[in-house]
Formats: sequence, C-alpha cells, structure tokens
Amino acid sequence: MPGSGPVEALRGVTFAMQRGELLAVMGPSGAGKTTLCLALCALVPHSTGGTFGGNVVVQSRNTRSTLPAEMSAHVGVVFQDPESQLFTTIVEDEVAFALESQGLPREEIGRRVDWALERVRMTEHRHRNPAYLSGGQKQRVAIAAAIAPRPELLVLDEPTASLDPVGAQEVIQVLADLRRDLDSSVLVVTHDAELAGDFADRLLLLKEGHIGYDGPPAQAFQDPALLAEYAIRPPALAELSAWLTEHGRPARFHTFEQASEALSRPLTTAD
Amino acid sequence: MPLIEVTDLHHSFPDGWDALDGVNFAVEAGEYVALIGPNGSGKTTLAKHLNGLLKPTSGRVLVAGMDTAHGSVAALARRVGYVFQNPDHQIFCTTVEEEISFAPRAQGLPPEIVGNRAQEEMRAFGLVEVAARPPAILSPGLRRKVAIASVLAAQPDLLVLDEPSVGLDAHEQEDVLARVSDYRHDGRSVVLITHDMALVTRWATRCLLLSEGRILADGTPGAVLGDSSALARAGMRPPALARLAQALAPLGMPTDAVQVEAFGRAYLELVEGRS
Amino acid sequence: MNFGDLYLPGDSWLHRADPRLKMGLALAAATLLLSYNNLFIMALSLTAVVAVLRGAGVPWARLRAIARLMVPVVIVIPLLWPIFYQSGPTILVVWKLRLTAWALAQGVTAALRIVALGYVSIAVLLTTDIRALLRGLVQVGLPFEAALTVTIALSYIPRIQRTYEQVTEAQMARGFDVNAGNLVVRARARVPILVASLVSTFRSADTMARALECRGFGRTDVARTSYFRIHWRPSDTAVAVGAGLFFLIALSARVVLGFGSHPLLLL
Repeated sequence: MPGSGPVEALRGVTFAMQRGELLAVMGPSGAGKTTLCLALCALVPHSTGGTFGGNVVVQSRNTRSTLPAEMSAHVGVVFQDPESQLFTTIVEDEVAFALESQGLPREEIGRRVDWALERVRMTEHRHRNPAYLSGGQKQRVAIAAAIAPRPELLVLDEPTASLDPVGAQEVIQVLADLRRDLDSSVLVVTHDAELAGDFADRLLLLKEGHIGYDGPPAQAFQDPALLAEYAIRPPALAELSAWLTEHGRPARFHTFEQASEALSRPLTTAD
Repeated sequence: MPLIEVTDLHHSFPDGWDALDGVNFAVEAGEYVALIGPNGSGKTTLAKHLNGLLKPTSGRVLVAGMDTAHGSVAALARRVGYVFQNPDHQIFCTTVEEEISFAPRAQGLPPEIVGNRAQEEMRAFGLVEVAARPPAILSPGLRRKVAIASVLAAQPDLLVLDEPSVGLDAHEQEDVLARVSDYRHDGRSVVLITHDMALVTRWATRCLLLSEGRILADGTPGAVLGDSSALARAGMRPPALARLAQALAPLGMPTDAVQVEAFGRAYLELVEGRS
Repeated sequence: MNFGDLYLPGDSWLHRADPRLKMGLALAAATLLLSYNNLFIMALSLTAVVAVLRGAGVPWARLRAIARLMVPVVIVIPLLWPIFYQSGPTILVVWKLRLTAWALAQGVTAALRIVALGYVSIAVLLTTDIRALLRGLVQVGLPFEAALTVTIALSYIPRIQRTYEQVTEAQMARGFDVNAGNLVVRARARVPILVASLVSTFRSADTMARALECRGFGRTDVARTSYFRIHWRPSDTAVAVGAGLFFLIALSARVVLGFGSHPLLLL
C-alpha cells in the first residue's frame, strides 16, 4: 500500500495443488488473498513490483522466468469487478482475446469461443456489448474468457462479491457445472462460506500472509472459533447445526441436502 | 408524525421506463428498514427520492416534514445522509480527518464541535490511526468506513445505506453495521438497501420487498423472508434457512423462522411435540 | 442514449464499407477541405458531408449535438479574421478596424471548414463499430498495442461519463450545491467531483491493465492472430477508385490551376 512503507502481503506460503483439485481460499481483508492470486498468474512480481521470495510453479513453469502474458495460456484469471476486467465491445471478442494472444488459428479460436460461451450459458449473447449485460452475465463472460485457453489453473478472486444474489447464483451455478466439464484445477477466493462449502474439495484459510488451515471445508465450518478468527461468517446451516448441537440435538451439516435430510428424519421416522 | 411518508409515488425515466409504479409506505423515527428486491426493482430509484436526487413523476415524498420535490439536494442533505454503493464516489479530501469533518464544517458548526464529531466518528470506526492519511489509498474496508463516518458526522435524521457490506469481511461488516445500529438508537432511522439476507435478519426491524416498482411485501424480516410466494414472484431466492423451513413445512415447521435461533427453537418444539 | 457511445448501429453503405476505405475517404476529404479556401465550395462541401451522414442514418439531433461542441470555435474564427485580413472592398469601418468583404467571406469559410472537418473525422466513428475500427487500424499498419489503446480509450468515454454522473450525485448528497453561486463558485464545486472521478477511473484502469496482461496482451514470443475479420468488397474498390479519381482531379484543380483559392472569386 503506498504511503505506508512496504507491507508484507504474503509470508512463507507453501501449498501444492493437484490437477483437477478445487480449492477455496478464505480469510479476513488484507490477508493476502488477492496477492496470492496475482502471484499465481505472475503479475506478482512482474507488474506490481515489490520484493519477492520463494517460487510459484504452475505446471513446471516458474513465475520468476515467465511473464504474465506468457502465463496467460496456463492460468486463467477472473477478478472481482465485472466492469473493469472487460475491455472489448463484443462478448465473443472478449472470449477470443486470450486465444488471439496465443496465436491460435481462426477456426480453433471459433471452436473454443463456442465451447467457452456454452459452458457459461452465454451463447445467445455472443454478439452483444458487455457494457449492457447484467453483473452476473458480465462475470460469466469473464469466466468464459478465462477458460477458453483451457488453462491448467483457473483463479477466481471473489467472483461473486460485487453481484446481486441472482447474479451470484448464476456464477455459482456455472462454477458447479465447470466442476464436471473442466479438467483444470480451480482456486477461488471468496467471503461466501456457502459458495466455498458447496464448491470446494479443500479450504485454505489465510491470515496476515500465513496459511492457518488447510483441510476439508466441512471440518472448518463446524468450528465457530476458527471461523471467527478468520472473519468468516459461517454458512447459516452450519450455524444452525452448531446451535442444535449446543441445545441437546447433536447435528453436523452445512449443505442444504444434508440439513433437510438430517432434520426431517426425526420428524418422519417417529411415526 | 412519521419521519418518512411516501404516498402513491410514481417515477418514470426519460426513456419511458416506469421504475416506480405506485409506492406507499411510512417510516417512524427509530425504525431500521431493509429494502430488498432484485436488480432493477426500483430500490435505488426509491432511495434517491428520499434525499431529492430524484423528483417524483407523481405522488409525494415527505421526509421530516419536508417535501423532497421542493428544496435542493444540498438542503435536504442536512436531514438525510446517503452512503453510496461505491465509497470512491464520495471521497475527495486529502486526509481522513478532513473528509469526516467536511459535512459538519459545511453546515457552519463551530470548529470545536466539528473537531469533536470527527473524533467521535473516527473512534467509533477505528480510524484514529489513519486520521492523517489520504483516504483514497486506504483498503476497500477502510474507505467504506470513511465514507459512512463522513456521512454520520453530519448527524442526519435519516441514514440511507446502499449495499454497505460489499467487499467487507465478516468482522468489518459487524463493525460498520453495529455503529449504524447504535446511531439509530438515538431516535433516528436507517434505510438499508442490501442483497445480503443475513444482514436483513441480523439488523433490520422491518423489511420492504420491492419488485417492478411496487412493494410486494412489508413486515418483519421473518415474515417477508419466510413469504416464499412473494419472493418467488419477485424472482428472488429465499435465504438458506427460509428454504429449509419451507422444505420442512409439510412436517409442521413454521416458515417465518429465518434466524438461526428462531429456527432452532421452533424445530426443537416441533420435535418435542412429536415425542 | 449515451452521447459517449459514438457508434450508431446501422446498415447503410457507409456502415458496410470497409473501415480502411472509410479512413482513406476521411483523410482525402480532410485534405481537400484544408486545401480549398472558397466560401461557395466550402458551403457545398459541408452540404455534401451532411448529406452523406444523413444518408448513413445519422439523426439530425446527433449532428446538432456534434455541431454544438464546435460552436465556440465557429464563433471566434469569423470575428478574428478581419484583424489579419485587410484586402478587398470595405464593408464597414469600426474605429480603426476595417471589415472587408473578403475577410468576412474568409472567416465564414474557415468556420464552415471546422464544422465540415469535425463531421468528416467523426463520420468514421459514427458508422464503424469498435472491433472493425480496431481491425482497420491494425491492417493499415498501426501496431496492435497502439490500435487497442485507441479503441479502449474510445469505449472508455461512456464509462468516464457514467462515473462522473454518479460522483456528481454522491457529492450533491453530501451537501454540495453544484449549481449554486457564480461561475467561480460553481467551478470550484466541480473540483471534488473531478478528483473523485479520476480516482475511480484510475482504479478501474488498473484492474483493466491487469486483466489485459492475464489475457496475453503484450506477449512477444508468438504472433497474434485475429478472430474477427473485415472484408474488402468489390463495391469498396469501386468507391475507392471513384473517390480517388475525384480527389486527384479536385486536388490538381486547386494546386495546378489555382481554382478555389480565393474566398469569394472562383477563378
């Protein structure tokens, strides 16, 4: 942050991701989540400057020796603000941009644009100007643009934070579908515990540049003290299961399916 | 006399879009009203009538006895504080302290009162350490706090907040909204525009559901968020607990239990009643 | 509708024409407008330019809005001209200033030229969508980086305008009376609005720069390809040949024969 001297955004973060893994990263403001995203696509340190130690390696490419523009074929990024990450005036141009940067032949670009737009359900809007789309639609275009090069890693930095619930739900639905269709690994930074719980296999909790938890989301969401420490609002359903446990009806759930099954059982089996 | 009195409010934009189509409601001093509804339902259009940024096409808006159709936005600004969605749009001073002092100073209050108000808000929002820093370079969470503090320093009778929680973590949200809630306890009112249903159940005393320029539901947060047919008509997804209550309704679960504790108690009662 | 959105979607011949042809036509027209200096020819040229834009479906309201931007220049130029230009029959003497018929004609010609040049240079933007403009600029030889910068800047105008409007509202809500007081007071009230608008704009420009890099912008190790194509059609060739001939004849008439160099006399 300018004007306040150097700030250590990340200090000694070590983790590995397997191919196909779906990882959520959560933590309070200023924990270094965005810096982590920028490091994965080589913007840190190439474009942001600052002091950089350690190594970030994505599919055997070290970010120290790979420029962000070259990394773009391997790491797709979606930022929080749907407005300012779109810069063309036609949806399909937005999706084609990274493919053009890679010098792909026109026919291949066409095929991948079709594929990516279909994944995010934006095919019917391909000739529209992104400026006139809703927030959720803009963010879906940004996701299509990021997945079109078939990156090994997809990074999403708070993709739903600026959206209304309808838009956020659209994006969450698209991400859920991508779980099946994409063989990329996905890292999503979010404040939304429900999104993290539904989507991720694994949760990293980050605070003051350190990783403080690395494990299954379900376990973290049953631990109110841990969540409070990381400024995470627990999913309402996890809170409910904690409340019931505290009041003599032990329960352990955080998704809707788990909850409705667990809670309806005592009401039906008694008959 | 109610603090806000909106009577048969219609607003049409120059392109012919009828953003508000006959809105009626009144808010008493001390109420904390959440305004919910999908994008394009008219929430922000309605809120901008409360400080005169928009004038009614027909109908009437009275705030603290003043008709907002007359009188400038600047004059209404003394009674109605409005915190916009993007804090960057209202921040322009070179230090945090100046920013927060701006409104009371512009009202012509004596310097010691201006100073006291600024100190009070900076303490309440934890901004004392950054008092001399330029607000534009602070983190999003701190910029949001500066924006709200600089509006509260004017001590308006009515505070309108447009999506104040976006980009904040749970602790920052709690800080900001707890301060807003304290502010209300001095007989002032708050209108909160939000998409976050958890904030509605946590803070508001009343909830208005807007859809296509009309009020579809008006009641306690539990009653409105538990009204799944109204939410469905508005195209909104009920919060998780409301959906769960709905799913368990055939087994006897009441649908207005949309808070963890209320839900838990209702559920325990139901289970104990069976055995 | 947003004035910042220059492009007017349509299906006229000008819309369908290849952007390279349109840029060439605009360049040729501007050259002729700058070389001719005759009131009647200039009036005729302006009429022709307006006719072409009307033919391309540009509404009068838009033409008026563009003309309004040029009003200050259009008023000042005919007023200044008599100071420097003193030959020809005298019409009027005010104190030591002599207004001659030729100076008056010269001033009006210059004003008409400004308007015509304004319309010609904006005609390309009014009838070419940004993606076609980008391809056109690249294919006439501009580096991709430069062409993209130009087109992003153009598409940024409406965003800046929107930001400015939102900031104005936010500042009014804080008690700024942006429309009260004399000119100086009002100008000063605009300062915070400009500051806040700039900060917001820089912030989003920063994100955009990052997004561009993450999509491979500026990559030097592979040659960039293009998904969208522009098409040069036979009709474009026909127009280019016709316009080229006209341009050569008109320019030689002016340069070789000296036709149209006097503000009022044709030969």
